[in-house]
Amino acid sequence: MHRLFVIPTLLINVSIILIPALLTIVLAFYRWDGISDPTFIGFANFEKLWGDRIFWKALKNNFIWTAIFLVFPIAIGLLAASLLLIIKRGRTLLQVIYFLPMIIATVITARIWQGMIYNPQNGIIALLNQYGFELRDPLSQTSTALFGVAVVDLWHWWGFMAVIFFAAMRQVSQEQIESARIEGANYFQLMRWVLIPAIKPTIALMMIMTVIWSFLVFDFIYIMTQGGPAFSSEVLSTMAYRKAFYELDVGYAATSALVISLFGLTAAFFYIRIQNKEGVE
Amino acid sequence: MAQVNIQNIEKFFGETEVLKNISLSIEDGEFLVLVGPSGCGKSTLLRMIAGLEDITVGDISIGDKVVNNLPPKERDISMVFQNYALYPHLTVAQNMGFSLMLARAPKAEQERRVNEVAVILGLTNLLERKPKQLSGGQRQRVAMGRAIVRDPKVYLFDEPLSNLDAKLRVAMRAEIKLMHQKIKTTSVYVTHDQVEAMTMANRIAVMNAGRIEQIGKPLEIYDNPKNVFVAGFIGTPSMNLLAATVDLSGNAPLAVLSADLSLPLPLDTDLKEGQKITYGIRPEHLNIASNGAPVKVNVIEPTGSETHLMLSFGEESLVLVARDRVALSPGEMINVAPDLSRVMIFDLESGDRI
Amino acid sequence: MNLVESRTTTTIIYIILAIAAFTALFPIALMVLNSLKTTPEIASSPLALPLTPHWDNYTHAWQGAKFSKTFINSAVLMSMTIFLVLSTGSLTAYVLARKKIKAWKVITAYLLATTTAPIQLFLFPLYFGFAKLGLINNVFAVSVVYCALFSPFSIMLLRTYFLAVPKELEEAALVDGATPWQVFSKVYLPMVWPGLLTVALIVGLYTWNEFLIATTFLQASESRTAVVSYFLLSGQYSTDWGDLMAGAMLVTAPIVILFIFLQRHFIEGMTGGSVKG
Repeated sequence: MHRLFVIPTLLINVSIILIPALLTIVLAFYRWDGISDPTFIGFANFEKLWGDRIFWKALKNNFIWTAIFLVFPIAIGLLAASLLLIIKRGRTLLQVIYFLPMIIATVITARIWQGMIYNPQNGIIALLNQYGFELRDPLSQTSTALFGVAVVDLWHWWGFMAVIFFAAMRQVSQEQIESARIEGANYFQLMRWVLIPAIKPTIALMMIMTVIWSFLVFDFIYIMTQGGPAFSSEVLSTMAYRKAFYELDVGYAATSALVISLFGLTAAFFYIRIQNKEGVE
Repeated sequence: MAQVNIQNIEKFFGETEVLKNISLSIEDGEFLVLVGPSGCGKSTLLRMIAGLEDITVGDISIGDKVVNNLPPKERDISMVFQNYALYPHLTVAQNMGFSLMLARAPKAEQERRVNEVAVILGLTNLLERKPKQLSGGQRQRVAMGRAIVRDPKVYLFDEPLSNLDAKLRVAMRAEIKLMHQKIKTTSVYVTHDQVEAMTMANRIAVMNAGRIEQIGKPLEIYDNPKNVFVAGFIGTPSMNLLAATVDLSGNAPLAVLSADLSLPLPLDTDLKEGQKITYGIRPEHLNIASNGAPVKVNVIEPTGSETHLMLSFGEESLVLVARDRVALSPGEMINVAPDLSRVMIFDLESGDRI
Repeated sequence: MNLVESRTTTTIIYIILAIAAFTALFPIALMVLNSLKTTPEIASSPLALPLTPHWDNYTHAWQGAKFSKTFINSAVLMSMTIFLVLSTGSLTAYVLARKKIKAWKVITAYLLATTTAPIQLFLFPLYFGFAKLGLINNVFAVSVVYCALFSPFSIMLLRTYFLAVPKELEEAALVDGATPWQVFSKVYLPMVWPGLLTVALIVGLYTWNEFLIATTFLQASESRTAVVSYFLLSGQYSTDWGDLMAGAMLVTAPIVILFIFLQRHFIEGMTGGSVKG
């Protein structure tokens, strides 16, 4: 009887995710344009990927992206969360404000930043330039495009981290914090010896998730730069998407997708271990 | 109404054996209490009768039917849980009528039954409330009401009074007993509280470590415990159980507790010189007597109706319950003597009554 | 924490937190402000107040992005997805929470694994498969895709709500004569509705905002979602920023209003399961 209960979920999940994922693995060994019959080409797609300059560029960008997001949102989130823990009034309001960017659609966020901030004709950059700065649209420069997008994603993301860390810190026993304060711990000592050790499992989980999400990043880059200019902000997922739907090289796209998954998989392994440990208890 | 038969039941949770070859038959209309320390398997046994745990080995039958493989709903039982298990989203009336609603009984019939039972339990004014708005005692009553509405062959109670405060517990104890005298449905009641067991049961089954140590009427068990465990478990304050050696060299047989303390043994015992025994005497059967054994008074606990004395000799300690008030102070030496007809002798090693 | 802090410490803390709040709100404020201005006004200063509010930006955006059609598409897609996720997910969450089947561990691990799989891993075969079956531009087919995507986390979240229901209630219901289906529908479901509401809100939010699947599978102008049609509008004539900000306001407003009223459900739901004790 209870076996029937899980059938709808499994049926949907297997047919939408598992079977197509397995097909992707198969497709990686074929040349296919999505229309005509696929041709088996062995490891040719993998060899092509190995020699593809853009692939290496995209992979490097994924690593840079991961590094940025492992450092900034987590650091800012920890700072904001610990300060929220100290204040007495306004916690809920501030939490709501910090969380707000998280609920706005990526497309909207991207357009606000492109039009209102980065735009050299009518954005904040234009305004600053009137006061003698010489700023250019970061998205139009190969040297800054990736960072330009990262700033927007960061804006949308850090509040989420702050709220999660705050929720975790609130579970630390009041007595621990109070006795540390009475014993004379200052802010940094309190963080170093009480708060951060106490919420370490949450931080670890968020770091694992950050690695996973960083290899999946797609929306902001696809919407704001399409990986440009000159592939300077290309990441693996935008590259795979373009190969499949613009260049109709589906087999090659599948190969790139497999590589993305490999990186995600390593992190996912740790993620499932942590989550399952909780499930068993 | 039905009798419940339990035959050679064993239960394993993974590798651990929690019930070891249990056989027990509960008569039609009987109120049987399963009592024992926590972890002795009493709740597991009850849940197996209910069908909430499966049976590893053996048979359980209710009436004439073996129910091993029947789901709970087909066993015609009802159960009162320790935490009441009331559905928080339903009113008192809906909680009580839940089983009838599931069975799709006619609306009028449902209402009639619920009202009938509500009158018996004094819940009529509370029928439209939600469990959250009730006191602990009221919730307990609703849980009972839900069981009664179903009019089952067997009632199962899983420590139903343990979440109530002491006063309410005594009141509900009497109420359940009264109700059973009225409706006379076979009941199995699990508790860890031996006072509850003594006061409510027709028969008690004392359980320990997955086994039934003794089955019998409450006073039978009190007066004639089969072994050290039952002797120590039933009765408060619990029986004094002291390791001793038999000395038959003098005029009267003695139990030597230590170099300087011996207590008399009944004359007609069949003991050998030097035999190792456990000497058992209930605190109320120990008296202050000038010709008795010398012990030191450590603590005096007046309870009002009686006085508990914590006594010691050497490393060992003894409890004495005196009906009369005593004028003693801690540190004083007194002499105590047992009521010889009430002394119980157990084998030191096996713990069995001799 | 109720410790007495010195005045200066408190002030510094509030200043830092206020700067953070300003950072979060500033771009949103720019959207609100400039949605009422003409493009030349914006160009002269994005920070200035509008001389007269240009409400017709909103009508332009409404027509330009065909919101009268695409809002309905989004709403339909959202309702179908919420329905699918709740109906299939609550059943699975119950079975996993109560370990009703032996395979609960395997299923849990599988579902967790799928939450970490990149969309690109299954996107391409799925797209060409749907194309073959004629399911492109089919709103129902997309809601099934969303259901597969959002179910795992929804199930993990609902699981915690099911776990909070005392096991004795289920046993009492079984003794009272309930079938497994009745235990689920009559005992558990009424008790986990706060969880269902939270999941509905979050799945609704994700569906409303989702871009990659929507833009890939719903291309025809009559089946597009609001977010995708806004994306296409902003790509077409990216010069009229007043109109674009008005359009952004239209897409965002329903969510923000809902968020402000039900913020606790949103925050608890989206952060749920991430806090490890």
